[in-house]
Amino acid sequence: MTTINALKFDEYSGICICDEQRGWNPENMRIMSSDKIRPVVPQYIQQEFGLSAAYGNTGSSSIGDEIKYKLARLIDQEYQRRLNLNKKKKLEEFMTVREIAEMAYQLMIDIKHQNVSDEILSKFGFTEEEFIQGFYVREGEKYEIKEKDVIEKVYQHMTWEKRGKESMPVFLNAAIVAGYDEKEGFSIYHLSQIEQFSRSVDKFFVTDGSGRDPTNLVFSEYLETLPATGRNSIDRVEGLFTAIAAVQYACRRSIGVGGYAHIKYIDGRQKDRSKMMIDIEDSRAKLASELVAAGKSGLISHDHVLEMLDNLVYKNKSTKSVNEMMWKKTKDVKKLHRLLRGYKI
Amino acid sequence: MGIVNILKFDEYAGAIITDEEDNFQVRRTFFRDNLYRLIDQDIAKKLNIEVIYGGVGDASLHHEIYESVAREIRQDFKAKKKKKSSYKTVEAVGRLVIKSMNVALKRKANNRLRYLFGFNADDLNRGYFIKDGQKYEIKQEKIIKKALKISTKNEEAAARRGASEDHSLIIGFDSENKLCMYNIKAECSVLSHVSGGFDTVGTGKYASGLSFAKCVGRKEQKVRNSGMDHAEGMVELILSAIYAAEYCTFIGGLFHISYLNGEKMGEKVVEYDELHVKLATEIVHALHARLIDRPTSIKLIRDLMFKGVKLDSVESALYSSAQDPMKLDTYLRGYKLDIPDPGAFHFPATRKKVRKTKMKAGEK
Repeated sequence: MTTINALKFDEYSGICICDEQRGWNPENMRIMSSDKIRPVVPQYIQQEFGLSAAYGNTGSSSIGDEIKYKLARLIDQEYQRRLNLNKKKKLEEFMTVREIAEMAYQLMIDIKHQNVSDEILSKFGFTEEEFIQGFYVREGEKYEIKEKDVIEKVYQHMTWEKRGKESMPVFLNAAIVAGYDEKEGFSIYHLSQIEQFSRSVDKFFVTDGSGRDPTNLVFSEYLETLPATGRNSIDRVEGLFTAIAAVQYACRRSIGVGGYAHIKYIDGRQKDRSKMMIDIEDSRAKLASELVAAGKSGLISHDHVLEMLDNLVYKNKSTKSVNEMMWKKTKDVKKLHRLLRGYKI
Repeated sequence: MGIVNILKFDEYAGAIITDEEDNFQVRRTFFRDNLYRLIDQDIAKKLNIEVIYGGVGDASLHHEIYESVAREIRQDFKAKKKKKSSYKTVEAVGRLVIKSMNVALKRKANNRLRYLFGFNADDLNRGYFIKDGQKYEIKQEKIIKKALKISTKNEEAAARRGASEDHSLIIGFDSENKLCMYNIKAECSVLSHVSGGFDTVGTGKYASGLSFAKCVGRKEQKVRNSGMDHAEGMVELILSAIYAAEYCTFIGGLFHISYLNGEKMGEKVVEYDELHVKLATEIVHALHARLIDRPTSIKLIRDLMFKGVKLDSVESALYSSAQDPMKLDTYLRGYKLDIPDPGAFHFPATRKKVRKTKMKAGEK
């Protein structure tokens, strides 16, 4: 129950954005604390190679988090491995975002097989591989797996063909990998355990999670206003406005989506490589959402909203100054004040 | 889906609160109304009775019950007039609700049974059905098992696990029994008297229950029996809904509140408009985060909901009574404030001081 999104602005930059709501028990009680999109490239690698990437997941938080943490560790280990193989002990180049996405998909595969095998072993006493070969051997005795009901149950565990509850936590997961590398520029990849794919995103944005229908509408409607050539260089402030509006719409219309928007802006042009990825997930994200709400309601003009968003997110102006500006720019302070507090206007 | 909570303030008064979120699969909207006044106002006045019904789960079921109950009471009153009316008590209306619920549920079950198997619940009971003049015995085990699940209402609850079941609450008063509250669960259709002064149904019931438990549990029996101040009760009722909306899924939008007072002259039910309820919710939110103190919140609620003080002036008073109006404002706009456990119960400051003094004295 989530919305995770990535939008490509141009060949150097783009944005990842998600919500922070998590359902934490069978009754689906909620908590606003999920860290769904995380950077996965260690800072020293980002500095050295200008490689920056984020991984965002929807589905089981535990599986998503496991992949995120393992992915960051694997990238680190891969660097050490390549370094050890290099005679000069210095790497000229490192991974691309495409390779990171492939690595993430391999992790999905490993976790799937581990979890399903563990469950099958616990329930039936044999592993996935033994099931595929049709028999298993225990203490020198060979057991053929022939019982139809057993075969059907194990098959469902392995394929989730009937979308049963048993394997749902393993299969009901999807992810986004987005980032910049110097070989291929800014790119986005979409990974799914539900439909078992890992693919490059060709259409400037991708959205997944239970909020994907509303966000798809917002992104599509915005992109359709741009000429085909214009879609290759989306204005980063307009893009940010659209992405926040999409998350807001998902929060409003989708169960399981809520809380602050978490924003990650990645810019390959940034000279100071330590600042290639900007994280905005604190009160700035909340204020940015308020600005978008004010703009959508017509209480502040669109141009003023864009100017303030630019100042807040990209030019790093203080929330205090932008907040003050917001009240100055509105046509109706009382109405805006109530809108932001959740009144129906 | 959503939440419906009731709280008895004293023997004459109480209130009911609900949210306005509705769901279709994973999508949600915010314009559902779960509360129904079951008796037309002219009849209610003549019989000196008011009954409000609030239901969670299947909205169409509750609407069907409301229409059927209101129609029956109307027809009964027209036919028998005041003295002989069959519905002069909340309990009698509650029994009518059960009857209407059973009719609606049976129709729904029969729709499914007829669609799936070609027979209805009565056919299932007698073990056969007749089609085109020919009698067919119902003997297939698997069919019987499934049909029984449908006809005994065990199927839908299981199928919709995670979502809210069809539960409802009734709050009302009549001349004979004063304020009465009942709980009805569609799966067993029993009119249960609400004990303990409060009840909560819906997906937020555990969170609301905690809030009510804190409120009721800290009052001694004597206080519980004599009742609570109505403004204080309203604060607690709203707080229970805030807990549910904050921590549970399927609850959202603005709250809707109806207040009943059998002792009141004139209009005995107040259905507050959305603006008033939203401001009242903000007042209680501010209390919950300890940005205003409890007496202030009760005073503001009293002014807003019981004394008819203008909304704008209560809103100003809310801000001026906060120790830190800026903090209050950011909190009400939905910013995260790192306030440790706002819902926790703390000893009054005076008691803390006493304990500190003792410790300082040390008594070595």
